[in-house]
Amino acid sequence: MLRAILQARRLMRGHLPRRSGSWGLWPAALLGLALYLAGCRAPVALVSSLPPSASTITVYTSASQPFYSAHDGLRGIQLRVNVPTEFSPGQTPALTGGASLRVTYEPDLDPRYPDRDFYAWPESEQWLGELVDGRTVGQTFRSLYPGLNGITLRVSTYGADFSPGTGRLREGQPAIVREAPFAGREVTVLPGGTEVEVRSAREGWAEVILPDGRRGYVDQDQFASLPPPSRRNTGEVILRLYRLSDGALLRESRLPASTLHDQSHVTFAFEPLPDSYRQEYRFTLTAAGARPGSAVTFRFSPIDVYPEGSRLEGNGEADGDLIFRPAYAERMLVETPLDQALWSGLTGVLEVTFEPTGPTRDCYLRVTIQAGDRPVIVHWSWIRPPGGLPLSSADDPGAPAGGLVLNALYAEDVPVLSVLGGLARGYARLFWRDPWLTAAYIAVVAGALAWVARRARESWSHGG
Amino acid sequence: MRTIARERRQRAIPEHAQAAAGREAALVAAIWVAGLLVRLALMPATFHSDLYQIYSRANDAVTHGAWLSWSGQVIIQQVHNLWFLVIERWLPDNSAIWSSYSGVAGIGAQPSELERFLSYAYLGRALFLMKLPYLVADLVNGWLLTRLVEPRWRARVLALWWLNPLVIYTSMMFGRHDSLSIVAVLAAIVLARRGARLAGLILLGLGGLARFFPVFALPFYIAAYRRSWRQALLLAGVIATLWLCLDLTVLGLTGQSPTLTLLGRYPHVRYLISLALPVGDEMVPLLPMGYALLLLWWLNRPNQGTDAFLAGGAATMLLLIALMPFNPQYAIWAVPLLVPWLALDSRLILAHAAQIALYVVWLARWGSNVTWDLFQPLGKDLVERLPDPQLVAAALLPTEVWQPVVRGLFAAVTLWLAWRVLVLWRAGMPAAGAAGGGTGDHAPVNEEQAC
Repeated sequence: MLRAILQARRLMRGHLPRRSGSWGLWPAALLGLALYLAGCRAPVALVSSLPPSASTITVYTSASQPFYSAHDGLRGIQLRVNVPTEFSPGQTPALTGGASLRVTYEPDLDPRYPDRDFYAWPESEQWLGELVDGRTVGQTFRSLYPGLNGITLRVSTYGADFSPGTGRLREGQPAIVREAPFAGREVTVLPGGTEVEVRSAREGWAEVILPDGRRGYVDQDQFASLPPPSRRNTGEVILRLYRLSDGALLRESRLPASTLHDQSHVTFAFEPLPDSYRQEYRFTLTAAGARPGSAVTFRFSPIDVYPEGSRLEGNGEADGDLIFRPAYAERMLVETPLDQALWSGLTGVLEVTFEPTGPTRDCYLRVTIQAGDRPVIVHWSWIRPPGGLPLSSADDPGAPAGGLVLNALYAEDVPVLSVLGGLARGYARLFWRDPWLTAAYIAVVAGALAWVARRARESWSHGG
Repeated sequence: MRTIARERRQRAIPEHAQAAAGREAALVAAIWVAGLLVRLALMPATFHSDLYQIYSRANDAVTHGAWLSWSGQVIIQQVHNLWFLVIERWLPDNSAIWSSYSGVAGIGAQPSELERFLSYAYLGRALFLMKLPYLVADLVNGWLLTRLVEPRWRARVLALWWLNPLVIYTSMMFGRHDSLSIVAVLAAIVLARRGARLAGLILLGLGGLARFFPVFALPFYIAAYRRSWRQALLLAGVIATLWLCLDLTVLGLTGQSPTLTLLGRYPHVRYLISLALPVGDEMVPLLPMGYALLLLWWLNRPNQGTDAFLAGGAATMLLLIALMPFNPQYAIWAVPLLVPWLALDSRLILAHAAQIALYVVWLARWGSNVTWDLFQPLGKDLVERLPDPQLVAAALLPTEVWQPVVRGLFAAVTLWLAWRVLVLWRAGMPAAGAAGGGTGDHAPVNEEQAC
């Protein structure tokens, strides 16, 4: 760019009369250079200032913070930590003792897809009805991350796990009863071999009713026996993924209906699509070999809960949306040692910078701090970073419900020419839509210019 | 006949003087046209939601008869109500574009309402007509300022007002009405110079009712254009009595005292005392202290005439802008009374340029809201592609560093300008000069005789 400006300057010098001094083109060249540089990348921060610290947490293994990233070109993370000022003899002076920082995508926490809460089964949602041979349902959607490698849906098998009745736990293996499958709060522990009333299945767990009337969930694998299922589903469920723009079939995934659990999440996995960031797709679900009475069904919302896409039934659009969430291959954006970060005594933050990475616009990311030889003391605040999600600590599941005190730095491309073009189009639109305004402007501007021209002519005629 | 008379007059003026006058006229015309073109370019393309809200309330007043429903800025709202009555016939199908919540204090226009306004088919025309009073006010202010100074300073004074980025930003980009109140202030001075002191006082009072800044210039006006101290005190007493009557009347009618409402609820009162020095366990607010010191010092000088008022008024406005937290649209008040002094001294122009530059940087404090977002009529998606200046600044320097530094420098330059204005006045530099030949300026009334 600089060479081009200098060349242009030499050319102009050859054709234009030389003025006194050599200042003629420098301002223009500098302005051009400034515009060029400004037009390429603009430094942008995630938040304008770091929130006030509430207290600190000590990271022995790892702690992480998800946040919504509004900009592209992530190039740095600022983190408020306590750094040691004294080191014991023989200890290598290092800011964080070998800790490292990782930035990854966090699509699972992105609330913009219809399946927003893993544990919630709201009554406003319904089941589609059996997906039998010949029926096709589907959904269009926009992928917000690269590396799309699956679609997760909610499936029901109509009681294909077991019927209501009595189950018996495995001998010698106490079973934890939880309020909800997987990570629900512990209700009680049942001794191995206990017989317990089971009602229905969810996520591969059995809903149990305890003798005192309380309810909870026990992993089905903990049972030695369960009542026989009310039905057996047959055939395969097939998910096909198409590019929305040209309808090209990109991926296909098949699952035997008999392997699906009642009222559970099921992911149709496929080879990752590396370039899926902000691309639009359509997926369809069909069944092969599924007859009425032996087919599964999927969950949907009859009201539009996902404005970016539409539910499909057969070849046409239908009301509402499937309850789904795209799945992505894990991808590390950055991994960097914290000891190489710069310490600011003014703001008390460690700033680690790296080559701009991305895409990071309109994504949920996660910053993870991995402790090294010694624990890292990190500040947290009641004000969470954009996205409003809490921090999590591997050392302390009951970590405070605040957020880590951090900021992200970006080098964002600013399309100057495109913006200038947009400005021109905006003006054209304003005047194109209103001929009266255009006529008034032309009249006023022409009158004003004529007046100033007359004054100038008068001035010259007086020898001015 | 007229042409012959003009030719005879021109023959009587030396040629070099004619040439200079011609150049001056061409320069003034060029300034007027340049400022006009810039304003015309900005008028249909930018606005702040404040503009939309004040006209939405005007729509409420006109269509639902809610003429007094908005109590925050009654006078300026009535001006907009009346103007809306005039322009609504030129805005086809405008009934659905206004906000229903603008008149609800604490809520204001909703994003969906702004979206509706932005998609209005005649958006450019609407914005042009909504800002037209501000264009006229800017223009009148420019003309009034040229009436205040000697002819040789007119082009410079006009340029300093009419092409001033602060003025253009406030009136045309932001779409803010402060220029209307400034008309009242400048017209008051022009009237006072021509001997119509009371009419000027009434105008200044109206300006003060519309925006609170002119209220602080009121004591300077009364003293500068007094015939005697007895008359000044009497006038002050009359004003206080009038306000008391107004307060008691409104209290009787509504059960609420305007004075107590202003002091208790108006956020600007808090601005006036927000900068304070701790003295033990007490706080001494700097602005009231500085203002009182300035007024007392000024009263202790020979202080009759327009120069005295311009000096005291300019220093007061600069003091207000320097020592209280201000919203972007307030900064225009630093300009009108300062301009005649700027014309006298190029160093002041440089300082004012620095003040404007710092102001532009300081705008980043409010982020896109007062910068890129103003261009939403040209395309919302376009604006959203530009990085928020606040976040750009934060990426370059910690906010806790750049904001105090810029605000400190801005306050310093602003206070330095105030001090230089007072120095110029004390040195006898005539900002208002002999222009206009007003009654009060150059023939101060002998107080002994007047008494």
